[in-house]
Amino acid sequence: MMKYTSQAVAKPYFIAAIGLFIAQVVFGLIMGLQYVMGDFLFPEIPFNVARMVHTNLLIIWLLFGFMGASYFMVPEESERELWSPKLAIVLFWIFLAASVLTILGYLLVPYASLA
Amino acid sequence: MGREFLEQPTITKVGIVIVVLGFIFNIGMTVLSGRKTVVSVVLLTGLVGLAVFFLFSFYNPDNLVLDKYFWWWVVHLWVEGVWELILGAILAFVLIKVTGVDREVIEKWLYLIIAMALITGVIGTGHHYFYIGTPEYWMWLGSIFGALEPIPFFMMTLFAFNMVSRRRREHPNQAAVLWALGTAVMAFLGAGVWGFMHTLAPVNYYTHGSQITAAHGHMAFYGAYVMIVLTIISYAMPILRGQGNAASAGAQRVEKWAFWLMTVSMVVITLALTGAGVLQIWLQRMAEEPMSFMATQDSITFFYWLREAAGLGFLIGLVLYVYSFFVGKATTPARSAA
Ligand code: HEM
Ligand SMILES: [Fe+2]
Repeated sequence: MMKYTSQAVAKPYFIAAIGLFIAQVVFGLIMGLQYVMGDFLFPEIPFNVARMVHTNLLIIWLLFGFMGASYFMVPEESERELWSPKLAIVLFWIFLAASVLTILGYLLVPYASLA
Repeated sequence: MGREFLEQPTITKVGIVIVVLGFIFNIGMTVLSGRKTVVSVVLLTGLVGLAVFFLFSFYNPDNLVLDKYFWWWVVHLWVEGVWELILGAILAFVLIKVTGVDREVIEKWLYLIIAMALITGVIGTGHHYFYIGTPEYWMWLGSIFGALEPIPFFMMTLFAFNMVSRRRREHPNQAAVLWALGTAVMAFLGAGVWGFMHTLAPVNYYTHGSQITAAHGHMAFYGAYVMIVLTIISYAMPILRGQGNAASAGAQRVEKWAFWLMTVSMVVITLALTGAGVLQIWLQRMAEEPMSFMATQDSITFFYWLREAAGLGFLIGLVLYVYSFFVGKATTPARSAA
């Protein structure tokens, strides 16, 4: 049983983390294959792009994980509800949208015109 | 821009800062107006540090030495500094819950661990300042403090196993206990042992930017940060999903299989990359007649195939992990899984 109902905001963060984790590993496997088969998925997903997606997804989903962990732990440690569960949910969607758009940007837009 | 890990376009970076600040504000208000525990204050400190050091990703000096110098303030001071506080706090929280050991005991360990992490990790940044145009004193500082950096990770291993062996109860969520112990072991191997391997300046002279670096990066990130996130998910998800304190025995069995598949695969990935790295350094950097980069790569493909095979094993483990959430959904929660 949850001790505080606002701990529930952790759940979408954890689910997003696992989803992005899967994507991270898939891009890792693509690169692993490119190591031994140089033209695999070229020019659709060049190595440098796959690499950027792989490492950025790692950092992003770990951040989702840390945030979910904090939202779960802190109410229980502080013995009170989260200051604003609503803010937590709003930020979740902003962060998810920004992350997905950035990754799609890496994949679809030449990096030189992105940054 | 264009710097590893920090490639995000400026607009995304600004977005990240806004999200992280809002998040820290929310967490901070909760911590400051409630019961303050060592766990929550250490966690909050780590999160604030994470945000502060990310700000250096906006600073993009033209001088390549300065660029690298501050790039590490994000990358190194995250994983070998403030993130260790987050790691320690999550580990302590889960251990309090699953072992029932007194909070006071666990908090003392946490204090010692984070103190050692900061004492060694901050100046340990110097292990990235060898031969790149930074002052020479970094050779000594980076080597000495880098060599001490495994200590906090080793303490985490002692901490986790000690608390579990002194447990006051059998928590029904044994999968979470396995993840917690696994984190402690794998973080020490990946960060401590594989980090120590190339942290001394004379060694780093040969190993820098080789597959040894990749081997270490993989096991350290997986062992410390992937596994601690999977630990808290393992502990929290059954509670968040209204399954009681633990998932069903069947679901936990699948989750433990996933743990072993992913972890063993990561060990094989690391060993394969280490093999590739040793050969690479030998053929390309130490041999009497050094080979070119590409010729070297062509002669170590065996290890790359091995890594890819292990990567496939890892993916299967991950799929199994996701599947574990759908096992035994309808059955009553297990109370006494051994
Ligand atoms: C969980 C903690 C750690 C993580 C996640 C981690 C991760 C990484 C990553 C990803 C890199 C490669 C960066 C790059 O050049 O692209 C790296 C480099 C390095 N790490 Fe760690 N590390 C951790 C802990 C440690 C520790 C404790 C030590 C020392 C004992 C260490 C020593 C080094 C050294 C010397 C390098 C530079 C390698 C080179 O010159 O190519 N690391 N680390
Ligand atoms: Fe470092």
